[in-house]
Amino acid sequence: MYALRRIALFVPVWVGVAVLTFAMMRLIGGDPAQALYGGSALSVAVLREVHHRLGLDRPVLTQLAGFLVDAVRGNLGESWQSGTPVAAILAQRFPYTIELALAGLGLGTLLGLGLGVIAATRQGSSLDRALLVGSLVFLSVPGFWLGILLIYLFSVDLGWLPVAGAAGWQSLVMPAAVLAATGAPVVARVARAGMLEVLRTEYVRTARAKGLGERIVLLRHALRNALNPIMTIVGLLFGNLLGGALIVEQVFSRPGIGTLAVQAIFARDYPMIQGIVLYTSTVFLILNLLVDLAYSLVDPRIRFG
Amino acid sequence: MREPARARDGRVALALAVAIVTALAGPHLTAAAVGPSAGGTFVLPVQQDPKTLDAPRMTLADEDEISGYIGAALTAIAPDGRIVPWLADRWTWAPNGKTLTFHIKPGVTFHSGRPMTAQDVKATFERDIDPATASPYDRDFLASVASIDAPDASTLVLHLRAPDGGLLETLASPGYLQPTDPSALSKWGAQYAQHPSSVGPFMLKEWLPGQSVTLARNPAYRWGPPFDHPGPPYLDQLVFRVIPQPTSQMAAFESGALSGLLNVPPEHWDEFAKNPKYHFFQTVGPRVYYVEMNLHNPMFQDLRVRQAVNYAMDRGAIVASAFNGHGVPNWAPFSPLLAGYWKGTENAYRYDPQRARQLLAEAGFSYQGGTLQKAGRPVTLRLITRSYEPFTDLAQLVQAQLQQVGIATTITAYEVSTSLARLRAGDYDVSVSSYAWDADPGLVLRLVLEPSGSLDYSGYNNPGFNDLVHLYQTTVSPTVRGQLMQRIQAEFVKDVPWAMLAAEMNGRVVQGGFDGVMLNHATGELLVENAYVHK
Repeated sequence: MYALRRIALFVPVWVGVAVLTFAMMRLIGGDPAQALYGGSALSVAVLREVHHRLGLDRPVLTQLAGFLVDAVRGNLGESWQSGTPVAAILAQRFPYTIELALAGLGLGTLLGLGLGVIAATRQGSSLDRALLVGSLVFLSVPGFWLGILLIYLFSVDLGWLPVAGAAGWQSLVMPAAVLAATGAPVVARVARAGMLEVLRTEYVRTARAKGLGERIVLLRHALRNALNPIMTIVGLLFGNLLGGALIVEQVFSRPGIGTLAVQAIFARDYPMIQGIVLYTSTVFLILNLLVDLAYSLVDPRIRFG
Repeated sequence: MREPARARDGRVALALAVAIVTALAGPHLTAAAVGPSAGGTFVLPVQQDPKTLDAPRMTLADEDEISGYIGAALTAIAPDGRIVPWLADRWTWAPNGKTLTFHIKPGVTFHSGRPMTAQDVKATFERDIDPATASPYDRDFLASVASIDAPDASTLVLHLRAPDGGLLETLASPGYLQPTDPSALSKWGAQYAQHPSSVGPFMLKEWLPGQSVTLARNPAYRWGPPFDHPGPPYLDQLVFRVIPQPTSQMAAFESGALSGLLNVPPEHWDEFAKNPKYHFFQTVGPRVYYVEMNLHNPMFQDLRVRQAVNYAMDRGAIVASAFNGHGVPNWAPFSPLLAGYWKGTENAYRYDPQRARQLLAEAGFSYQGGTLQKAGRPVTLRLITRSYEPFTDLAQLVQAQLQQVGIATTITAYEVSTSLARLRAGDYDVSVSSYAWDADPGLVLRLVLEPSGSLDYSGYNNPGFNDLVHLYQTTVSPTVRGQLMQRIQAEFVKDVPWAMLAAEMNGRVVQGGFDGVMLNHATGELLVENAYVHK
């Protein structure tokens, strides 16, 4: 029931996202017919013809209504640049972005958890402080800058990893690391705080008093109970990383939707941009729902009625 | 129009320029240690992800770059600027200049193996200009063509509405105007855009959207223009990789993942030029930068004010600062790369702020504490430009130099298509503008400086100038065209609707592991089809 209600809530969110995207594209200005041709010289007659072909000579509300009706039917239209259906392009390109975001999220979560737990068990030590400072540094470093730095180190100087593209796991290493570098500190801080709290509880003391090994105490008793807030933050992080992936993709020339989106925005390819935003927000909504549902798996006390 | 005259990047995309004069005349060929042999893969970056390779429908400069290797053209532009045979081995003009007859080379075949006939070229051109094709550029290129005949397989006749002196040069476009294989067109239908087939030195092998386009040698290709080596290319493959970020392109080149870079940022020229591991090429490019004055503003209707703006510009300082020295000061309305460029324009307005102030005073302006006033009111102009380099640098330099003669400005930078919309609406006083053009200067002049031209944002309308441009376009004789183009430039310099600033130079670099790559000094293009692996 809970899941159904959550899914029903998608509808107004979707409509809101669709209308907002539609409006934003028209507010940023610039003539799409002109932008579509890279800002090149077109005769006035050709411009007028392009306007007509793209339906830009119709009233804005008519355009909006047409877009919404089509979107509800699952028809995202055709890219103005290539004439190919937007849905087909997204199906082709989105997996690259998801792959990167998931790899970044996985790596970032593992790193963050590990570092957070270590920092919590050695609270106040110099290692704890070093981890705190380190996480602040990586949280502040812009992804594209870190990306270029990694490229020069691992591709140009050492020649270990490919500089661009999406061929094999090697090309995923650096972009995922860049994403993880911004995600891990967030997870580490929440994990550290959660663990510190749990480690002070009675049942941890009891577990230790029973003579259980420190590892079992930490992993089975403490971490399990500290997982809830971590899961929340990981779920939220996914949205951030999806956004971050768009920029990282540019630096590492991955064929995901980031590269697609940037080019579509410059070309004012409205159907493409609207499709990308709708698609991304849908994925985001679904993942958030899955995270919520996962709470009950981790913590049996939580039941959604 | 061909290079999307105001394309976002400075990439030289098009194969259609005649330039008899180039500022730099370097060696045309890289010395070869050992003779060339077949093999190797040459990898180039493209900034934009190609969307279609259906020639007449292409919109991106990068699409034309790739497509130019898949296709070929009736004519070609040789490194010395002459128009030479390519798919046509000869042509004749009718005495009235209204009929142009081509004789097609024998033995040309499409990538499918099907022989190419004059009828195929006719069908291609008819499709290019068919409104249903909705080609953004081809209809402008072929605007003078009224009808086409192909009386036999090797004869192509173009009947023109009026003589078109630039047509042979315009036709030299292996990208936009390449012959289309009718069998591939009927086989693929709407999907032809992803499966182009023409008669060029390379054929499409694999296209991974967002990643790369791989071309393979066309083993049958024996009909290259005379400046290419005879026979098929040595390279097995020519690969275009989509790498959107210039910094990532640089890193990819330095790591060896790319064989060449077509657009080296000016700040990296020296390190590449000095490094013996690389072949470095530099040439004046097709892009010019200028100060566009809104002639609807009464202030700029006064010739003396326009002259004053011209005298206020320190072009040497602009080139040194905005282009790291990799540009040339320019006074003609187009790049020195183009055919017909007249050196007589050079230094027409040498930097002279004193003279500028004097002219402004003559035009009725006065100074109050160094600031320009007209009828007791201070003059402040809206200076618009685009929000990226070198425009933002240029705008600040222009602002400082105008301030030197008392003209205050406020700068607003817009993203490219927004800035074009502002220009078109006349919502500005001065603009730091730019266009790139590497073909017949007559066409671009008509577009940017005639009232009917789609790029005429300044509102310039000088009947004498328009007549000269029209006469130039409808003249076939190269000698007369040369004289007319000189008069056009003299008129431009006299009337100065714009203050020209500089032409950009292009730096290109190729890994030392490849030889044979040559620079076509007439077009500024790197002729990669001649590359071979250094043994």
